[in-house]
Amino acid sequence: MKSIIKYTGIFLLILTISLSACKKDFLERTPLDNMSDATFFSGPNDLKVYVNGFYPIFPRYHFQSFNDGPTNMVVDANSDILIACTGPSSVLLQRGTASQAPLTNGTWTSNFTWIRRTNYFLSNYKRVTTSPEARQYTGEGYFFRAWVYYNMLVQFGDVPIITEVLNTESPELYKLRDSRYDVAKFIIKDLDSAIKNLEWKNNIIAGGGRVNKEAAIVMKARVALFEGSWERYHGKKNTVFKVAGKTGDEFLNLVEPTVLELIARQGKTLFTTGGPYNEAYNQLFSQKDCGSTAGVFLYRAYDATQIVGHNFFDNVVDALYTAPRNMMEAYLDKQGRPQSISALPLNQKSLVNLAANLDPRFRQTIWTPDRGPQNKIIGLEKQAFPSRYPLINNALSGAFAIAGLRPWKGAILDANEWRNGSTDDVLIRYEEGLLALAEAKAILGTLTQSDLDNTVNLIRSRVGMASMQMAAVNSWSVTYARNKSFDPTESKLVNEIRRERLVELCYEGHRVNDLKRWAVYDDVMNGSKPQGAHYKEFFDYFNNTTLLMADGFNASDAAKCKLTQGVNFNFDVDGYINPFFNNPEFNSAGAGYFVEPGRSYLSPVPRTEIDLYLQKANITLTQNPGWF
Amino acid sequence: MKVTTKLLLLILLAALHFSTFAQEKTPKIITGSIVSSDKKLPLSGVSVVLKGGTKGVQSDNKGQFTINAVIGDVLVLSIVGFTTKEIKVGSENRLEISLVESISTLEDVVVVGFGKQKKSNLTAAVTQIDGAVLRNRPIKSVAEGLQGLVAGFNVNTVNGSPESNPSLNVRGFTGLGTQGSPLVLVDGVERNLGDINPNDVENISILKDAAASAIYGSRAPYGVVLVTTRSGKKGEKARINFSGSSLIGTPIGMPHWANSWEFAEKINEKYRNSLQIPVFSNATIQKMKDYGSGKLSVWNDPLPNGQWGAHYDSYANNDWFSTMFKDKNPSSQHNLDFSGGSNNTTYYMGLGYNKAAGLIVGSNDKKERFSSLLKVKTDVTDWFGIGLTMNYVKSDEAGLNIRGRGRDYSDMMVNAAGSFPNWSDLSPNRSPYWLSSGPTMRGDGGSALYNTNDLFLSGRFDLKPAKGINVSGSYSWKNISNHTNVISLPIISINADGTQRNSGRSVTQSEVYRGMSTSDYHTADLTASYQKTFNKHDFQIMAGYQEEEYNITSLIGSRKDLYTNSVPTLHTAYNAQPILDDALSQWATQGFFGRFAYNYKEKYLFEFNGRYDAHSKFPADIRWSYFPSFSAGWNVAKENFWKFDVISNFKIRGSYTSSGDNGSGNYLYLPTLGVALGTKDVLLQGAKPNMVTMPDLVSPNLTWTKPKSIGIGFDAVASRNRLEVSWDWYQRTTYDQAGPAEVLPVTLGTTPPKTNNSVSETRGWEFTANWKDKAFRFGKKQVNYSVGFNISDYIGYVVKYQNIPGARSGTWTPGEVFGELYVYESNGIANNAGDIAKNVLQGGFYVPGDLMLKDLNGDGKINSGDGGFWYSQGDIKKVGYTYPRYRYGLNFQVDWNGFDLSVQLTGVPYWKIYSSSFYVMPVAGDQFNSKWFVAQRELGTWSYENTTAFYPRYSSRGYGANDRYLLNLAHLRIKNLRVGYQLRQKLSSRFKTDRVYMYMSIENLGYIYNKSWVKYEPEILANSGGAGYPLQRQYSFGINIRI
Repeated sequence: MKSIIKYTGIFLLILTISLSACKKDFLERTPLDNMSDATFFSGPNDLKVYVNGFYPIFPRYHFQSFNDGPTNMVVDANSDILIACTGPSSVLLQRGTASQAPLTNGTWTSNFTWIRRTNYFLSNYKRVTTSPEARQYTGEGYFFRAWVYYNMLVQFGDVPIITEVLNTESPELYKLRDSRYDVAKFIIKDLDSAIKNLEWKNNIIAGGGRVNKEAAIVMKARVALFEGSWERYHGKKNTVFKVAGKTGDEFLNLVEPTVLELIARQGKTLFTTGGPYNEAYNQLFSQKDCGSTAGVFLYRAYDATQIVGHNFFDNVVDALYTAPRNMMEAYLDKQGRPQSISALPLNQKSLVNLAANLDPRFRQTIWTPDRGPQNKIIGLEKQAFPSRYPLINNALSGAFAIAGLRPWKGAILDANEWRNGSTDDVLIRYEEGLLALAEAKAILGTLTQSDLDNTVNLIRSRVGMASMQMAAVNSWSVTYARNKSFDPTESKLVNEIRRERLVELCYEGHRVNDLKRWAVYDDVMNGSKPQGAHYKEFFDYFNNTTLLMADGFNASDAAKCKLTQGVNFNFDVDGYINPFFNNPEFNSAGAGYFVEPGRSYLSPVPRTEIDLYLQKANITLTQNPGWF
Repeated sequence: MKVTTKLLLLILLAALHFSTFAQEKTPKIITGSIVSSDKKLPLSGVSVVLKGGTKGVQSDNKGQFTINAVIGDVLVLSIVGFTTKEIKVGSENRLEISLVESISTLEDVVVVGFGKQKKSNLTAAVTQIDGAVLRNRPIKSVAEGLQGLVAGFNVNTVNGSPESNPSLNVRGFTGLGTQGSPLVLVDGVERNLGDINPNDVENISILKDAAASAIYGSRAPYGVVLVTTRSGKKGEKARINFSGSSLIGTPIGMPHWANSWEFAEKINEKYRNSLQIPVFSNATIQKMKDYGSGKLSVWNDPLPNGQWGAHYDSYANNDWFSTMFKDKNPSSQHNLDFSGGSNNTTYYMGLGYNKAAGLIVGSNDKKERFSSLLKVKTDVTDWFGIGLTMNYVKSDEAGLNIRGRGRDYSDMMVNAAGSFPNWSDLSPNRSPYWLSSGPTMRGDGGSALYNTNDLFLSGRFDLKPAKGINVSGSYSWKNISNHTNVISLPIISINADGTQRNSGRSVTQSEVYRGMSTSDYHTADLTASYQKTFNKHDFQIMAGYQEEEYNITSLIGSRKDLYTNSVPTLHTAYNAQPILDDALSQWATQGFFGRFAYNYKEKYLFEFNGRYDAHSKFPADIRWSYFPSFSAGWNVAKENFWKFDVISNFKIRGSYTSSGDNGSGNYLYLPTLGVALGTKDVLLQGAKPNMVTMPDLVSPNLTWTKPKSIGIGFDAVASRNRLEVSWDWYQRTTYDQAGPAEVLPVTLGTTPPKTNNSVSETRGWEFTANWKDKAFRFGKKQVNYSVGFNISDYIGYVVKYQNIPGARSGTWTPGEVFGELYVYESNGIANNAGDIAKNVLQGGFYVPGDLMLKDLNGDGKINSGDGGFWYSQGDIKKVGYTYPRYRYGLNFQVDWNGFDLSVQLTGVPYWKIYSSSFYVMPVAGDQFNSKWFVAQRELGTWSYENTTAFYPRYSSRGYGANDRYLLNLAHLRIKNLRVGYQLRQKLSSRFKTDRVYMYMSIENLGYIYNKSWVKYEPEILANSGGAGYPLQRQYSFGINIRI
């Protein structure tokens, strides 16, 4: 019996050992089909696939299921240069709206998500041995963090600067908002790191739609100009948004050396080949591969064959947007003089006249009827009606009625582009950098004719526009009104550069930020009622069956085009088409647009965040002016 | 044909049986008196029969009997509650007999975790079911056979498809609104219950009480189902059993379409009610009527564009349910087993085939299971034994492929069955009509095949090194491989002009999808136990160790564009972009466990169970956790002061258990990076770039959920062991459930990880009573019967939950009771403008025929209050519970002279749901979501001519959930009815058989009552508003032969 117990004991011992004791790591089980953070960041390709995940952040053209980012058209529709025909933008109708901040804010939330992702990258990239490729992706990482913080700066001003990957116990969760001055400095610093690491666009590892050194340089100029002019103009106007003790000169002084680095490389090279219309400015925005488009540094690539297409040109055919009358008035005549002192026989009631006499960029930006019936345009044969004017009533199109001034920038069409476009979306280009240099130097009073020739006049020469001459500008007797986004206290040169900026960069998403940094947002918007073209030219065309049928309408369709004032269209007493004639705020007695001057320059910090700071850490997160 | 043959055989055998006659010998008269062995009380009603014969008498109330017998005859004395005794007749004429009281089933040994226990000594709620209840029934899986048998063991039908298995739950809510499943162990190892052949089951123990399952620790927080398979018995002669049955299934609760012109008129009515132009023209409706009455022979006219008329132009009269489903279909089951044993070796071998046929027309929709089980045990020496089990199960499932989505029964019941009745299956040119689901249902759109191989190998040893000491260990390996093969084919429809188009009910590109996965599971355990009794003190100590290791790997591939539909493989498809993916994961556990049981005179009982468990999913520092359990019992009837002799056993039980639930997910503490393969609308360097995303924030502290249970109960045996009653009350508080973390500022940049911060509680009770007795004699034969009843109920509620500010859906509120149904109160259908004016409206424009709702809180609005919190419900009120309350089961058996009858009933007295599914409410939404079935026609919609109709006017208006259209799912169902006959031994031996048994058994026979006003299956209504694969009523005819 004893021996049995003994053997059993030995047997059990062996069994126990064989079962588990020898496997010390029996319970250590790691994921088999997922990368863990311990195993990742081993080579430059790891960096690449990680930064690839940042690219969805860029603005995009609208497309079916991917409509989660802002489009530049939508951004500009909240300003004075574009009207969404669906109705007045609610952003511009703040009369009587509550100034209580909402509980949450999608931008605040999503940007902190992006910040966490970029911080994760920037705290790990050093694990990869440095190489040109690794540096490129490192630069992209810095660029994207700067991009996100710039969005935060523009929208909220002061924001907490977070540079670490936080966990639930991190004290930085309750970090106070850093001043917008510090935020801007921080962005500039990240962009400096980006510029240092990124390759030029023509290097294969920085091409094909990736962020490159040129883009980072222009971005730095954009940020410096934005913050510098914000500090200057809000200070001058003494608004609640001013930055105490700051004149903006520190940032404005950064612009010139930054852009000069770019000019040293890019020189006078612009995109000048003109496409089927020989209109280089227009066609700059309808390139199928911006990788080979001179002066386009950052773009969002589209390729319908890769099932990444867009329907941007839908906007042209379906007429979602219209340009307002003040766009018509902003352009210089083709001799380079403001319309009020023009020597040419300008007629605001005739688009045909304007097309012939204004800055050539007008005709390349706004559809004008001298182009003939729309269905004669390449690619529009099947999509468009044979009308040479945009449809004013919607009886035929079923889409929105528009006010006569159809944006036409980049509107090269072919049948595929209309619904499934492959043209790239231009995000950052050389011209913005050049204009930033001109504006910064004009403000600082250091702008020379040579600077103008290297910047504004280089851009103008592409379209054959008369050059800007400092002496001539200074001699003009022109009023620069604040409600037209000018500043009478600034030099004529500064105001003319503002005009140049509007003309060159319209419909690329810059306008609202420009109005805000110039501290004229409320001056421009408040009380304004958007108007379109003068009605007469349209009335005479659409109510003339003979003309319509000559252009190719059949009788029945021609009849549907008939305009009846007050029924399917209307105009104000001065004869300009009123797109919102059904909205009492926009008839003659209406009060028009309104934004709160002391509130609308910045978005409110979400209330939930303020409450959480207070409840959990007894820290007061400040709110933006005008909000509670 | 098979059925007919068996019936003939049955009749023949029965005829032979009645023609036999007994041989006569010289009789003598024997008298006797019978007393109980312990108390010497006379026993009345004892049956005294001659062995092998039919003659018999009963003892009178003084225990006396008289019987005629010859020397050499054997008297068999039997009465419920006492051990049956056999006495050989010798020369004496007077017999004094005492019968030993059997504690009847109380003496039964019940299988519990890592051991067995006498039923009378259990201190926790355990119910054991004999495997016989699963046999001779037309069920396709073990789980189906367990429905309604055990109080507190909830077996819920999912749907009626051939591959579906009911879901299992013990004692209700296990977490926040969830009803987790018990651990299913087959011969001690976790198995898929669907892979077990019901014929191989010896018995099933349901460990309901946490105290009973505590020995399994965190592997079994919510009960255990212990299945023991059959074995041979030592010294038993070799036996061969054959059982076979043929089944006929018919659908239950299948709706049928009303005529197409009625549907079209209803849809037009909807349009007119919405002040819109009707979609069906009068001419088309007339054509529907003409087609219906046979005046027209085609049902569709070509359109000018060469296509067949579409949605509103067709004029057939088609009931899609008849087109899609069979009225009846045959299945079969066959089992063959061999068993036996010598003095030291036993063996069992079972082979089984089970075919479950579905109802879908023509697509060969079915599940077939082939199983084999081999068990051998041998004692090598008197102190050492080894055993081997081998189980191989192969399941083949074939199903339809609906629009490339595989077995999408929801699509089948919603879109295919919901097609307009004015469409038909084939176009007039005999090609598939492009809107018809018929070809898809017949398998023309491809098929979905699933094949599973479940291989199980297990070896064990038992050592008895000294008296009272047992050491045993086992090692098991389970390897399950799954193969999926989904073939999607386009269906081509020929237009009226001879051109082709793709059917709208199939894919447009052929595709083959193949998936293979293999899971590998190893487990080993080692236990040692010691048992000792002295001075009526009984001790049992057991200690053990167990470990598990699990690996799963899968590979899937799919490719479009087959060269030929007849060879659907990845290799024979040519699309340049095949899709490939795989998945791998693993986990491991270790656990040490122990049990200490003590009882004194089987009167005072105490048991402790504990387990120390670790799971690989948690970080090393918090990986191990300890789960103790205590339970005790007191058999009051064994006390001297107990005077109620009629109650011979009365045991009070109580228990406390702390358990653990490790939840789902495998590497909870390890952050991993996500991958996105070109999913966003980004193009870089000419292609969609691959992206990697940062790891989620994971909690280093996330740990087990900790259910803590208390339970009390009693077991009583009365009336000479004929009556057994037990009652249980329990409360399970599930602490530390993973819930949303406290809200943090979004500067965190991600969602904070879940933390163990939620608590919910479930309370319930169970009651079971069984009565077993002999009844009267009929035709000189004894009638035996038994009746069983069980009922249970539970309720659950939230104790603690972190609410997210602003979030309304998907959150819980402390105090919220699970499954409560809140609806508006109806104020009837408005008959005129005055009725409408009197009511508060929900918003919008109302006309007569609309349903009015009551403004219960008088605030002038009809709304559901503040975000659906249970304490602020606006105008909605509680009307019941959406899960079955007070579920009960009733079963009844009677046998007489070889015949037996068994009836099983399951019932729910209290169960309410609201559904807006078109199987219930035909009149909301657009024309594609509005139907007109025969049953709905009978209920009628409101119109000025029919103001008493059940439904409101036919319009696209929907109303909030309201009490007028509540479904009361209370019912009492005849779950199974079986009539069987066992041939008399003499007769069966003529056929060289030991036992021959024939039966007819019907599953889901029907309802004794069903309160719902739509007569679909209550489960299907509750699960999917009626839009679920219909259940089947199964008729089976079978025979069992034992040699």
